[in-house]
Order: sequence, then structure tokens, then C-alpha cells
Amino acid sequence: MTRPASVRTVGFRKWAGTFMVVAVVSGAMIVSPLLEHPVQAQQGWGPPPQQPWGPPQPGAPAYAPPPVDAGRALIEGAQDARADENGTLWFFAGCLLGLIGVVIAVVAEPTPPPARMMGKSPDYLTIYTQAYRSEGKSAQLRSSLWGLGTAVVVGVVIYVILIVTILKSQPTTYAY
Amino acid sequence: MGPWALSIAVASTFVSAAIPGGPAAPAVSLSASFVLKTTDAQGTDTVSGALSFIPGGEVCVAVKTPNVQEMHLSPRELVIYYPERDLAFVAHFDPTQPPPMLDALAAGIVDPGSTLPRESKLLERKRESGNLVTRWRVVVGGAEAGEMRTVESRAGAISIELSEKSGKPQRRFTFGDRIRVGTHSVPRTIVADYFAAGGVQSREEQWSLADVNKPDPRHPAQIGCARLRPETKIQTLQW
Repeated sequence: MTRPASVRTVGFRKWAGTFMVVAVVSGAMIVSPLLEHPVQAQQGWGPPPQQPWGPPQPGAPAYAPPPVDAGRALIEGAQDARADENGTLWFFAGCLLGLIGVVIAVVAEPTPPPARMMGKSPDYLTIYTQAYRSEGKSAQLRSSLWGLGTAVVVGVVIYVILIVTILKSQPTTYAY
Repeated sequence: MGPWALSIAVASTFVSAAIPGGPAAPAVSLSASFVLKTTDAQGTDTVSGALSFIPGGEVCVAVKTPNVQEMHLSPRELVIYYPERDLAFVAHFDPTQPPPMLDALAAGIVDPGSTLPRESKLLERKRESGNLVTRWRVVVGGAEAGEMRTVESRAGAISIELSEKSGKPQRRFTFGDRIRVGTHSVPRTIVADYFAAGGVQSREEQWSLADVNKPDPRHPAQIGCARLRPETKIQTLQW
């Protein structure tokens, strides 16, 4: 039994359409990463060429050594600032002094102990100090805002309780 | 009063022990080579070099490894100098609030009781296994900030522990292998444990000192005192 020619044509078109869609999607999947990272377009499937040890070849671009401890300085600065922050003090500053406490938390500059900079590189020192001060300020601001928020919530609750108590204590009058 | 007030008060007094004009300012004068191992959440770092407490209350540190560096702390400024790059960082601060520097060492050299604020009260003093055990209530600005517990032998302090009012530890210094240098008994091994708020240990410092001696006042060998030259690049360190 043979199919009619019209049925065969429709089947071929379906197959060709599916093939085209698959081809376009596959092509896009291969090409789009190359557009994001053009360097990869120059690479083959084989293993990358080995970088020879020793000084760079004459004419080759010379790269500075990677900033080995930059990330560590950032992490340690932030971590030490959080550990050193006096959360209780700043919480009560915000709680008792209100906005003034928050302003003080914004203005006050936390400083790292100098002993933590012993033996560190100049780059580490700069990044560590900046990270410490930045995270320390954020941490003390957070604590003071928590204190302020707590004071506001407590104040509102006390206010509501007072209003309810006063309203309940007033004698009910009926108009006839 | 926050729990850190205790730490700050006592730490600054430890520092003032090496700075003239402080409340308890013995004329500490010594130099030594050191190895410092610091362990924290990031791992262990080892720093070695030489240090000196200079008569007049200044502290100088010459770091040899891992990076050559000279640090000089005076009552008004901190200078961190990199001789290989001829680069210096300078931080200025209020002379009444110098940052704590080498507080673990200073704590082992001076009399622990003399480091406390004047309002502090002696709670207990007793003998235990031949050592003197003392407990102080630390009072800062009229408010109780915590406690200090010390264990002392004839040679000097064996341990000092600062704790919050709630009893959670803040700092613990343990001293050993003492040597007599002039009028001071100097520990050659020091372990300093630092605790974050809530009593969780955050950092440990292990100091080992060698070649401890009192510099000749006629020929003071100032170790690593960050002598800047006119052409030295100076950066201000925000403090």
C-alpha cells in the first residue's frame, strides 16, 4: 500500500521544519556562549597549549601577579568587624537615644586593632581597613536601627494599651 | 554598659601600661624576637620578627615574614612602613584612646590589678595550689562591666580572664616560661584567646619570644621604628 503524494509532502515538510528548528536552536546554543566569551571562539576542541614556565617570551604581554589575598582581606575585614561590633551598645543607643543614637552609629568610625595588620601586604591592609570600617558601620547602624525599631514598637504598644484603658475606664452614657 | 566596655577599658589600660601618662605606666623597656601564630576562622597565619617596648612608651615592631614591614605605635599615631616599597601608612588618633597594640604581651608584663579602672572592686583573693587567685568586679564609669580573674605565681601572672557580666568569656591570656628582664618578669610564651559576643571563640594568638633583653639606654637599638625618609610615599590611613 502506498501513501498518497499529498500525505508524503506534508510528512516531509513536518520533518524538515522540525530539523530546521533543532538546527537553529543547536546553533544558537553553540554561538551564544562564543559571543559572550569571544576568546573561546579561537579555541579548538583539543587541550589548551601548555604555558611554559619561566619569564614571559619577549614581546608577550606581561601580567601582574594575581591579588592573592584581596578576597581574603575583604572577608576577614568584614568578619572581624562583625565579631568586634558591640551590638548591645548600639542596640541600646538606638533604643534609648532614638534617632540621635542612629546618627551616632552612622558617624562613629570603627577601627581595627593594629596587631591584625602585622605582616600583611599594603594591598591587604588597604582592603582590610576599608572592609572593616564599612562592615563595622553597617553592623552598628543595623543594631541601632533594631534598637530604634524596638523602642518604636514598644512605644506604640504602650500607647494603644493606654488608649484602650482610658476608653474602657470612661463611663458609658446612653442618650434617650 | 555594653559587654565590650570591659574589654576596651582593660585593653586600653594594658596599652597605657606602655605609654607614659597612662594610669599605670611602668617604664617598660625591652626588646625580643617573636613568632606569632594566629588562628581564626580563615586558618592559621604565622608572623615573625622583632619588637621593642621603648622607654617613653612607644612600641616598635619589625616584621620579617611573611611581608617585611615596620610598625611604630606612639600615643598619637600609628605608622606602618614597607621598606621594600618605601611606602608608609599613617593613622592619627586621639591620644586618650590609642588602639590596643600587643595587649597580650603588655598584659603579661604589668601587674594585672594595676590595669583595671580605679572604681573596680576586689571580690575575692585566695590561695590555690600555691598560687594567688584574685577576682575583680570591673567597673567602668560607675557601671559594672564584668569580671577579671587572675592566677598569679611568685614569678608573675599565669592567666588572666576577662568575662562579661553574664559570665561569658571575652579574653583569656595564659603566660608561661618567664624570664627576669630588669625589674620586669617577662613571659616567653603567651596564648591569647579572644571571644566574640556570646562567648564564641573567634581568634587565638600564640606568641613565642626569644632573645628577650633590656636594651642599653646609652645605645638603644630601635627595632623597626619605621624611620621615614623625605621621599617616602605616605598614605593616610583613615582611623
